[in-house]
Amino acid sequence: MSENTITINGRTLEFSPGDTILDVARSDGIFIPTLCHLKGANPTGACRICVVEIEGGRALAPACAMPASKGMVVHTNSPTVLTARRYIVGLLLQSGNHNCASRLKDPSEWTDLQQQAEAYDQSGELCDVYGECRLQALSYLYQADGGDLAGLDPHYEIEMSSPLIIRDSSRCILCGRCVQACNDIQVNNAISHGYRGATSKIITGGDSPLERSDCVFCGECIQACPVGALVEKQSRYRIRPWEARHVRTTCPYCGVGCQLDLHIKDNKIMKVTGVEGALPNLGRLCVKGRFGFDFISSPKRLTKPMIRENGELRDASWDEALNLVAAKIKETKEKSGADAIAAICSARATNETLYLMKKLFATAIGTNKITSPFAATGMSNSIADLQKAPVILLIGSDVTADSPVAGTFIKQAVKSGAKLIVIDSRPTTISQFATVHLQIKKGTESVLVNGIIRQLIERSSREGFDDLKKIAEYYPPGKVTSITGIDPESINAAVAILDAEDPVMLVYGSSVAGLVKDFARLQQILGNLDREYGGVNHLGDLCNSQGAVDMGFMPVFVDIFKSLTGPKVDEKIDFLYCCGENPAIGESALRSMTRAPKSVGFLVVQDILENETTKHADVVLPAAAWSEDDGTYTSCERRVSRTRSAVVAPGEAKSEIRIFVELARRLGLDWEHRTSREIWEKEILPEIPRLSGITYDRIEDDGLQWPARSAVRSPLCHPKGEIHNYHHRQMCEQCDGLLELLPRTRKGKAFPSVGNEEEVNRKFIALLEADKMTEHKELIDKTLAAYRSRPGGLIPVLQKVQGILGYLPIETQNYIANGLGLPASNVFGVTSFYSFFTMVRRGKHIVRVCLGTACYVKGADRIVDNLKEQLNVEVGATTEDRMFTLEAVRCVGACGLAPVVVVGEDTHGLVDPFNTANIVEKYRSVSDEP
Amino acid sequence: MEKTRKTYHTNLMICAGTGCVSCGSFGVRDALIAEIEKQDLSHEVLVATTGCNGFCAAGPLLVSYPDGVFYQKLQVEDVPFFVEEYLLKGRVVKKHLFVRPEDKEAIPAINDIGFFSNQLLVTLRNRGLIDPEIIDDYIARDGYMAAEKALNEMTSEEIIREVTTSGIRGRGGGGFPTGLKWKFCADASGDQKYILCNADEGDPGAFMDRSILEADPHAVLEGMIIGAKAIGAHQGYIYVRAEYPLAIERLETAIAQAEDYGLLGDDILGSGFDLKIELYHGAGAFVCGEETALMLSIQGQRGMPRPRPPFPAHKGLWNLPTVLNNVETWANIPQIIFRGSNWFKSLGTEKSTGTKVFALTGCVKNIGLIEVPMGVSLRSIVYDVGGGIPGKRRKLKAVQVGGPSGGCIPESLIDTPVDFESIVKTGAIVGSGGMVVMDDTSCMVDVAKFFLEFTVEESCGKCTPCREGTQQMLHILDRITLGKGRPEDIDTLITLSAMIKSASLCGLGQTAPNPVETTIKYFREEYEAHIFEKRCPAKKCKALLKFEVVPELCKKCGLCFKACPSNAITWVKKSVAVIDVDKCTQCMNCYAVCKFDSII
Repeated sequence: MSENTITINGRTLEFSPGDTILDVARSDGIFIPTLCHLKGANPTGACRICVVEIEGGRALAPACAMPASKGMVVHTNSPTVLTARRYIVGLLLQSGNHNCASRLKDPSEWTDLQQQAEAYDQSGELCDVYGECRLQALSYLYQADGGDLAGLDPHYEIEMSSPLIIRDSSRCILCGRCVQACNDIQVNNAISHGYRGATSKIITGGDSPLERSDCVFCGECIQACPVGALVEKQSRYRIRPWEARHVRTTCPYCGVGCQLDLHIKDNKIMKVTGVEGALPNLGRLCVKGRFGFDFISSPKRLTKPMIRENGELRDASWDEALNLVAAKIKETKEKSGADAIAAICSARATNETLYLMKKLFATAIGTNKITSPFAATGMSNSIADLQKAPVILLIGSDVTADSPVAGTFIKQAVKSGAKLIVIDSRPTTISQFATVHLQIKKGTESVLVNGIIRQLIERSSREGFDDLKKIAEYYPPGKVTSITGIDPESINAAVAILDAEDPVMLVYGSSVAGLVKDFARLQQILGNLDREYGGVNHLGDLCNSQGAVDMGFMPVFVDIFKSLTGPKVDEKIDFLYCCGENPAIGESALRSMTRAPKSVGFLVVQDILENETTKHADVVLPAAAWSEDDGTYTSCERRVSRTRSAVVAPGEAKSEIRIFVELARRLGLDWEHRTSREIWEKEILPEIPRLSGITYDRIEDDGLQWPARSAVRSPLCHPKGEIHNYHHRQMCEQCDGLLELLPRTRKGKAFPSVGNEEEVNRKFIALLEADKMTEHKELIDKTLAAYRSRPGGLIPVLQKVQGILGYLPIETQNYIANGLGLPASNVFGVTSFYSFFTMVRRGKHIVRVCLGTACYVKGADRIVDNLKEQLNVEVGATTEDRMFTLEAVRCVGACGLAPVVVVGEDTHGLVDPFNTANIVEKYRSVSDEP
Repeated sequence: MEKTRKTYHTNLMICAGTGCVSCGSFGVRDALIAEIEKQDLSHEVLVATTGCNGFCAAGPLLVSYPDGVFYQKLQVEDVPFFVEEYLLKGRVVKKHLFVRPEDKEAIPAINDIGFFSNQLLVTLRNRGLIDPEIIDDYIARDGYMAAEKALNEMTSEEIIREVTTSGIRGRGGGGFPTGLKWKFCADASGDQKYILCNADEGDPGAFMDRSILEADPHAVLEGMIIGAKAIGAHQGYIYVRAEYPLAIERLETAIAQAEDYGLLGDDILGSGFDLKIELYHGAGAFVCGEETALMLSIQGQRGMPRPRPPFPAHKGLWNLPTVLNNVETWANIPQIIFRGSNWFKSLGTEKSTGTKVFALTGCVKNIGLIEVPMGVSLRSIVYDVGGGIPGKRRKLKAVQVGGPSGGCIPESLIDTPVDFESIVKTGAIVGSGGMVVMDDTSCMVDVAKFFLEFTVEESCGKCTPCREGTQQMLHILDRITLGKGRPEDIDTLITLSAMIKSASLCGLGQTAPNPVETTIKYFREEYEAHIFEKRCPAKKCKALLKFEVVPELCKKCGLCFKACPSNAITWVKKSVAVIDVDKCTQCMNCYAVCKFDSII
């Protein structure tokens, strides 16, 4: 046995350096309760429920934060520990509106309490999380109801105003998990601890409702909340925890492939949570993944096959519709040849669907006009690398909007010291985290990258690379600067970061996917290809972009587009089978390449929702949607994960693999009906060697990644460098209230996310004008500039600005937040913590009564009472004439003169508690003088 | 900025501590200078301002040297007479002398006054003797000799050994051995380390640090230079309360002067050692006295303590090794290095060496800042230094030591020696040195409530026991003082106290119940009177007062009648006063004036 052992409850257990007592206990099956402990974040030791007794220790120690050390003797269930835990549970129950424990109370009080709870909740039930609340569970475990303690008034209104999230501070136990989830895990920095002591509260910037804050509604806070203070609006009072059937699946949105836990009741998805600890997302989700599932129950769902007759679509039977499609295929092939037939399939389809479609159209029918517009190879490295990469070079990716969970790993890396270089023409949210942001002119990424390559070659004598050197010659610095609009110093700063020993992880978005060769050259010269935390990594747009490539789909099928460009081209498309795509959508990249599909001879649309393309269809086939069918997706990090059937498809909507088999049979092929597992294991795996070994059983839980390949293909990309991810939009449109939130994460062209800068400036200037303080703006701006790059500058800045303006209202705080580049929540958290700061304007004279002990025993409380009466104000308030603000302070350090009253700068000692009039009246008369 | 000194016949040292300044000592100084000029004595008499003299209640104060005559309560209008009598005619001005309460005798010599003669000045050795704004004054009193020695003659190990041998323990409250703390930090790996001074004195009833900073700022700087050398730090911060403008001003002056003299900055005294010290203004949070909270505050964050370990000696400010000591500890360091650890060890007791500065306040005759050797009895402090309890009818009830973290030591334990161990045995702590004397008009339940109110307001709100537990305790105390106490309340308070002490995250919570625990321990009957008899023996809790005159006790003097502002008392000569409860506004004036405790 190693030397590193500790004793817990009499058992000798080994530990590794750095392990906490909680780590050791948990790995050995010893239960220690926790509330505030959040995996993946630093322990805060706040809730104290995990306290244990360490022999020889002065006080109890928090198991979550106390490192194990050699020879420690720990008791997790001693009487002292149990008493403490019972009290802590009781204290928390009594701290707010925790009415679940009221059943332990006197039955005669029960009805009243329940009625109160009802009135308060505006609902017919008790706390929404009844049954899965961790505090409730602990209350039961320790049989603690806080009965010997007083119920403290929670005095908070429930916040129902924001979309998606209901916030109820009266149920908050201030464990801080939501703050860590928001700031340390998602790094959205929307919330913080606010105020202090008995008035502590979790706050946003300005203590505003969530919808008027920096919140992006990822909902990570809800998932972190151990009680009912944060709940999903969608599912509130619609599902009890024990009613839920759980299905694990993969998110249908972007290429990250987040693992979801679906909570199902009555054949409906009621809510979605992230699967804790699962790769790649480790439980994290974004707003779309967590809240964007209602599209499957949209009224726009296609539920019956339809056939166009006399210009109108009419309902048809599956037989009728499929027979017609089969007949048209045969007819077209005979009349115009197989190449007059084309197929287009969405990269949202499962691998199994894509495979069958490819098999049907390419092998059986014999056309090679098959495409999937969003097919794209993804990353050479893993998403997990992002969190540990020392340097990240992010090009043309609005990652926090397009692949938000990948964005969380990048933000975390920056938070723990990684350097981030962002090349983007847009001021994206992620650019606010950048060490260097090169905001280039639109479409000049290639020039900049080649300019950087040239500088790298010049900086050090790199041997070889003759080809690269030749290319680089075309990119002298002056030219690069004039084309990209980036000054040489900024480029140098980026080059200096890149040209170091550390690996650089190059990550790019779809808008620049065509430049992959430039990126590969850059990484080659830096020696970062095939390297951990290096590589060339594309964040795909759809959940199965990589899978579509693997199944043999090309992103751009030139032939189709050529043939559709009009009568000038000889070749024609007589038959187009469109599966889950929407080529008719206006203003899309696809449209400009495909033209209007109405020029197609016969159009079959297989989809889940009505859309622009179905309007032109000759046959519409209703398909089962995500979560209505089994299959696999391959994420952008080449991870094959299961997507599972959780609910029944509406109406006659049919599984896509079933549709293709039935169509194949009508074309005279002897295809059997197979499950998705059988298709994957019996057909796909034998055919695609790089996937071999990835059986359904092995990916029952986390998916598996297939080995990296160096070949990279470019995805569909608009010539202007824009990507139109209409898929996400289309799905979100169907989810109540979700679409309006998306601009929060992607505000079009100009979107500084931490409080819109223009708006903040406007409000601040308006405030200065109202206060007749405009001449001080210059000084404030100077102060902000001076402290911007200085760590820890917030408090001095607040002191200085309050010194200038007299108070710190929200408008000023937001201005300071922008000026220092800090989250508004952080600024409010600090301002509300320290008693020196005031958010309301104060009177001309501040009357501070010292309530230090020495003054108190000499009657300072009477002084306060008398002054309150005399000035007719409460403590902390200002008289109506703005002449006096009455404050009670804790010891001004003039105890020798007790009791003391300080007015402005003047200290008045040995005050007669019964005669305070003369002190303040003097100031009144002074100020009355002209 | 730089003033120079020549020799004068008479030096008039005027106290310019906060107390005296608020009583007008600067006006007195200016009047004196003008008058002396007028009398053409400018070349004979120096008028200088000093830091806090300590005898704050009697300000403005003046001490004349070389005579050592102590003058008190000197006002501007007294100046012409004073100059004529004392400076021209050489006669002591009786009107301004200290009068010994026992025999009403006027005492001219400062060293004959009990308040001063019973003190032993180490930390405050320069008080009243130097102008804190003149570095030469400090240097003239062997200032910066210790820094010179530490930088040029001693190794880091030698400094730490000397400090360890001296036995000095942190004066900020915890009493942790300073040498040990330095050793941990010196041993921590890393080139960048920080040295911090905690001047965020926030205990209600304490002003030791303020006075030291105002009286002798260079002592603190010199201590930090020595500490920086010992641990290998080149950057220091003094975290000072924003509410101490005079202390801030003097520190700023002192830092500028020290930089000017090459005592701070690069290559100090040619030793090759660099140290920069900056001020950081606190923003009003008692909890920032806790070391991890203070460091987070310097980092611009909310001052919410974090769990330890890791200890600041390994991971402190910006996660780098850091040593934090309070003002008084730093001010002791130069003395230890200059005069040696053995000298320091000879003061105080075996386990609590040296002296301790206390802010002696409350119901005691001589209010002020005092310094005594560790181990002196409370009695000696209250009676010999403090001169006892004012008011013939009033009796000593308790001494509150250690502020909101401390406790009330009852009169019965008045012979307790004041050192770290003995005070802890009573249930209080030495703390940073607040010492509030309470007489029998103080209600112990009310005092406990006072401190709990403070804690509830100042708790950072992070950990459950402190945030919620103290609120619950306050709720119970509130109820008791309102006459709604329940029989089980005392027991609930005791168990809650034990839980909060053992389960709270930081020192604030771990000591917050001390005022309640000690008052229950020593004054349980007072709690019981409130709960069971609905009576407040000290007549402090309004809700339990009847506002009635007891005819048997009333001496029919009519004082209460005259004091009543709302005409609620009827009284005619030679008859018992009667209070009309309907008219009474409960202002308590009558209670204050009645000399016979006849109102209940």
